[in-house]
Amino acid sequence: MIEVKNVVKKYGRKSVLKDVSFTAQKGEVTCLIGINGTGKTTILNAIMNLVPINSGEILIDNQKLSKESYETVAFIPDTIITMPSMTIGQAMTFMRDFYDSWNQERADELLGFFRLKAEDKISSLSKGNTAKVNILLGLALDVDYLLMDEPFSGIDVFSREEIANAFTDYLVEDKGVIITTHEIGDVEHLIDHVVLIDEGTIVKSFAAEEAREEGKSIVDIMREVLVR
Amino acid sequence: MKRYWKVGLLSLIAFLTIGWFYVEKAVARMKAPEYNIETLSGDDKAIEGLDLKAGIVRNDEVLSNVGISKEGSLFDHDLPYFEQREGLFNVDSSLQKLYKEHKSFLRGKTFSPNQYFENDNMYVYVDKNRQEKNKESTQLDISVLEKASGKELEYKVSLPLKDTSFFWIANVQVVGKQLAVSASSSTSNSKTEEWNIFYLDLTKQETDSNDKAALKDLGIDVPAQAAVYFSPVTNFEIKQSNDLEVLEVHITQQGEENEEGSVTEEELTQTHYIVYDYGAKAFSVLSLPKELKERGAEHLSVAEKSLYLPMLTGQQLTLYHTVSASSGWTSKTIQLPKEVTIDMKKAGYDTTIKEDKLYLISTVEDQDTDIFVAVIDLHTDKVIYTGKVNTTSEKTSKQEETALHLYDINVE
Amino acid sequence: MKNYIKLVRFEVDRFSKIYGALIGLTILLQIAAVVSAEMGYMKEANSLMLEQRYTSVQVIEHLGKISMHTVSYTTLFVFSIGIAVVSLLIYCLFIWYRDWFGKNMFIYRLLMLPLNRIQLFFAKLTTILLFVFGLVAVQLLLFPLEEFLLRKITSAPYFELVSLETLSQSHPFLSLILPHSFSGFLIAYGIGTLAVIVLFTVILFERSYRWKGIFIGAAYVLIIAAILIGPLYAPLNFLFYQEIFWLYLFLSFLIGGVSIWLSYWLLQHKVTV
Repeated sequence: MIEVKNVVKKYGRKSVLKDVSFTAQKGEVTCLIGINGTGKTTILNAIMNLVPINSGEILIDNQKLSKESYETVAFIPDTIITMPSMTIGQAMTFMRDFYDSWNQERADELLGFFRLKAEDKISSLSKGNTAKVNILLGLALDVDYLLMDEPFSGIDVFSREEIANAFTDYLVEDKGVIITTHEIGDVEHLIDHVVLIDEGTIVKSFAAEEAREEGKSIVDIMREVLVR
Repeated sequence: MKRYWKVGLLSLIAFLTIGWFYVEKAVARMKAPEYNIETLSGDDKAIEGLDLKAGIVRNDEVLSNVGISKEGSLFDHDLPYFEQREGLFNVDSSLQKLYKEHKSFLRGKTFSPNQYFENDNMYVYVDKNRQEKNKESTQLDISVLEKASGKELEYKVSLPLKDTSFFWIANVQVVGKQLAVSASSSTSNSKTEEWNIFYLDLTKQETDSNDKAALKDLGIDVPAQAAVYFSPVTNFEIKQSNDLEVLEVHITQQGEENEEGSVTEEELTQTHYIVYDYGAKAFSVLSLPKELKERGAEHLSVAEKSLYLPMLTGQQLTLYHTVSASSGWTSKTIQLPKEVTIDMKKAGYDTTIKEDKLYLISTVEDQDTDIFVAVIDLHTDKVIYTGKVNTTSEKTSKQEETALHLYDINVE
Repeated sequence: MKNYIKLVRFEVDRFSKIYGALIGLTILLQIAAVVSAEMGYMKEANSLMLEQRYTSVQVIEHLGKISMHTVSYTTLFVFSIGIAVVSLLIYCLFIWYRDWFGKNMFIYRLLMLPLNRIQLFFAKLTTILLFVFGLVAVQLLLFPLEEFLLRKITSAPYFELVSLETLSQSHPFLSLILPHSFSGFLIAYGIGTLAVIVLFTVILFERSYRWKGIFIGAAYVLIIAAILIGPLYAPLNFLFYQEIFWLYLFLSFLIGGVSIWLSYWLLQHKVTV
């Protein structure tokens, strides 16, 4: 379980996260939604200790984040985080060198699934293919938790489908997933829990199943809460 | 492992090459040429205590310093690391001994031998007080180390000098119960120097008297716009009390401002020699033998109450001698043996007198010339020893062209 | 340790092409320095012989002989060392900032590696040192080759042998990169390493606190400067060389230790992507 407890993050005087608390369970897909600039990315960065928080606490399976945590939690950020001078193959070798949790077999499988070539240079890839590489490098780690920041942003509709398919095929059941996205339609059917954020504050947290039972979509609820 | 070849190669090359460079240096140092003094004639007892300080020079750059004596050679890099870095190689042997035995006494003091005096009972160190801000007087800090007890005593004495901007101590020695400090100084509003011998009473911590070199009284005319500079000719030693002190006096015409506003260089107009006699406590003018008027007092040596001026022409050494400034010079000639050949153009020579022995040494050793040593007994005027500085290294065409330059002669 | 070696390999590989080019440029410039020095010397010698009717002995008396000493003072030679030094100085900044800037934010990946983040610091430091020592080694290997070339292209009577050992004693640049004694080498490169450690700490201050970090970094450097300059204001000659040495060794370890600890803390708790 990932626990985010009373997290406050300020940039100068501006508070980006105001006392944010939620939990993400193993085996569940938790979706952080909200309009742009509400602090979704900051939460994921904070969980991975990529930005320092001003107060609060983040626990992963009751432990504070340590170097070992990077073997159990994978983060697929919104930006390209591989070296452009590398080929896809070299980027995979880099991951294999450093991560014990690297699953080469799955990586090769994903390579075929996304129709990428190991010898292609990252700098020569299209935006969609670069995003696929990012996802490949994240999904090929045998981890307990997976954090994804806007996996579909700026990606054409065909690639989006492929990526969404990859989630269904490769996300094993007992993994905990935290995802932030605008394009909720592509993954709505996978979501177990929704955390709605506005201006750094959690305004609603609910089980997706409840919405479905009420015959509402997540976007409907989002609209209800935010417009009010 | 294949992927590590770049980092492996880089580390290997860097480590091996730099390692090889310094190992080779260390080996070369171990194999550095040894120098010794080879006896050509006479008994080598005559050079006991003689230590020649020389530099191994290439293109005017001193590569290393070496001391050559009867026992062989000692390089500056042979000293322990910290002593080397402290600059002890070229320091007077008395100071080296002080550094080893009473290091705490040296704390905060310079290694300038002029400011020290040593006799059987004590070491004395004199320095201008650096904290003092009093314009009315110049204060000296004096430290005394009693050899027997190891006790350190501190004194402060004010000198009757006002507003000094420059103060340089040339010599310190004990005369009777007083401490004599010979110093040059100038005030902040004048470039002209004055020379004083101060006699200090340490028990009272005051200046008893001072003798100033009053040029006018000595009959030396100093024009109104001229500046006066003093430089000692006497070679002062820590362990030695001098009976006489010889000074060179330079009188210069000060630079003039020209139309463009720049000042022309000072021009040397007169050079005089004066002698201070510690016995008589008086200055007098020293006139040089007329043969040496042009050349000046180069190689002048003071031995007790005698002044010696050696001059070498070919194999013939003319030695001028006087016992007081006013009594006039006598001269005698001494023939150097044939084996001593000094190339006057290339090498030149240096001399020193110690305990009635004159040491004459040529100053350069290279492909064409050698460093020769000749010792002359001043009682008998005979050359009692000749020798030559030898090196163990064989000169090959593959070697760099270096030379050995003598820069100091020490006799213990 | 295994991860640290992997990181060093990775950092070396990343810069290897530019580094190779830098070595190539150094070689080219220095060979050009040898050739141009020889040509300049012979031109002057020939004009003396033609116009002033000098004999070769008189030419040598007038000009001196040509040696690696002459070559080492040519603009090209000095420039070749200068460019290598400046490149590596710039790389000290680039080695960190390249991971933050540009389209690719590689810093995400580096900070998420399952290792203690201070290993990134040590790997980058080691890489810089390896590059520095590599260039020093290249200079050492190049020198005899240049000497051989100079000997080959110069008429025998004008050539003079000057070893690198001799040259490194007095040359303003060579004596810095190749100190005369091994102890001097340790001191010079110890100071250099300390400077890089401090610079890295300042970079991490900036990467953690951005604008504010620049001021914190500047204040940190000023404090270090004050600590290092302070003892020089002790009364004249108060300390012996040996004491100054131990004092500065202690201060260096203190500054190095504090800087590494601060870097560790910043990387662990404050650095931001």
